Amino acid sequence: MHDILKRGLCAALLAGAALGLVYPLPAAETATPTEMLANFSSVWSEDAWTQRGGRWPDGYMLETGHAQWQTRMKTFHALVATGETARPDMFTALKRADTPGRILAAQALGYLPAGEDVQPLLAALKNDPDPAVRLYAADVIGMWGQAAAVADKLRELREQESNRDVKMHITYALERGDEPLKREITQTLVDWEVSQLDSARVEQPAPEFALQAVTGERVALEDFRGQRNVVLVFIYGDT
Amino acid sequence: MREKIADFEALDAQVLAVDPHEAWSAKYLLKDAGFSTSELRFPLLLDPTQTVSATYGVAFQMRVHTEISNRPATFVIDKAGVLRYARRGEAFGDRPTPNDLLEVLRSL
Repeated sequence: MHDILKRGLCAALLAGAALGLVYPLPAAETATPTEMLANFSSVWSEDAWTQRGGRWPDGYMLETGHAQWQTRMKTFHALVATGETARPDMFTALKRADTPGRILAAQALGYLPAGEDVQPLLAALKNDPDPAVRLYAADVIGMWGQAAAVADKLRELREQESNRDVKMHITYALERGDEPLKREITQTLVDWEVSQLDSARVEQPAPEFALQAVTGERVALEDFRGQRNVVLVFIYGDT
Repeated sequence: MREKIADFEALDAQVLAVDPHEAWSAKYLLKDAGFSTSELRFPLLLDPTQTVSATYGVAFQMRVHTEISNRPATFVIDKAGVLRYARRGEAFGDRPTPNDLLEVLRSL
């Protein structure tokens, strides 16, 4: 190859790299939790979230077909699959990330192996301007089995809290005491295949599932095969 | 839905509800809404990691009770395991009526 051609190729590669063409953004498996959250924030912040004045009011819903939620699920999965080494980055995000990033970091922290230091969570519960961050921070303290250890502090923060839902979640954490999240629940998320995301299509085989019922028994879609039709209703606690 | 459960049974249909919380907080939320688990007429399944919700395309699409949660959605799956009906709600409380669903089941 002529030198001039080599130099040209090098320049093209460097320019491509600078534009992210040759070296694409790190795949979820190799990105750090901070990079995962930054990537998520750039997707989540640029449209629906920002257009709503930087927040979703209660009852706000994405339009059907809007793909923004898929990035959130992929990031949630990747953060939790990273395991306990993700914890320091996510504590940093609790302090420094934008609102969507802080909410997701707080939500995902609950599924990581329990840490002993809950001060960053108490600080978020006390100070964060977004109630979803405070709500999930309260959840994490409960999910880590640490609520009994900081019960007085939680009661004090509940007194100061103005949001009814956050108050309720502090109460859940207090009632939970020192009962941590079952490890098999986290494993369900770690084992989940991202290829299953949004895979339910009419006139095609329904995606299989097996879940525990609130009354304890395990119920799988295949239990009804050849026996009964299934009406599957997604609810949220009180409907 | 709870009142019509006999009609669903007559059409060979099993109603399953999916809630995106752990067991003990789901019980608490039910209590807050005026129900107890013993009054349920169908299984209340728990999807605390929202993996089934994401698979069915409903996760993380609505802010409700301050959480970033599932949009309301209803699916009908026939005895062969084929998805025959999907309705993803457009607004809080936007759901098919029990009669809508009974009509779908009659048409299978």
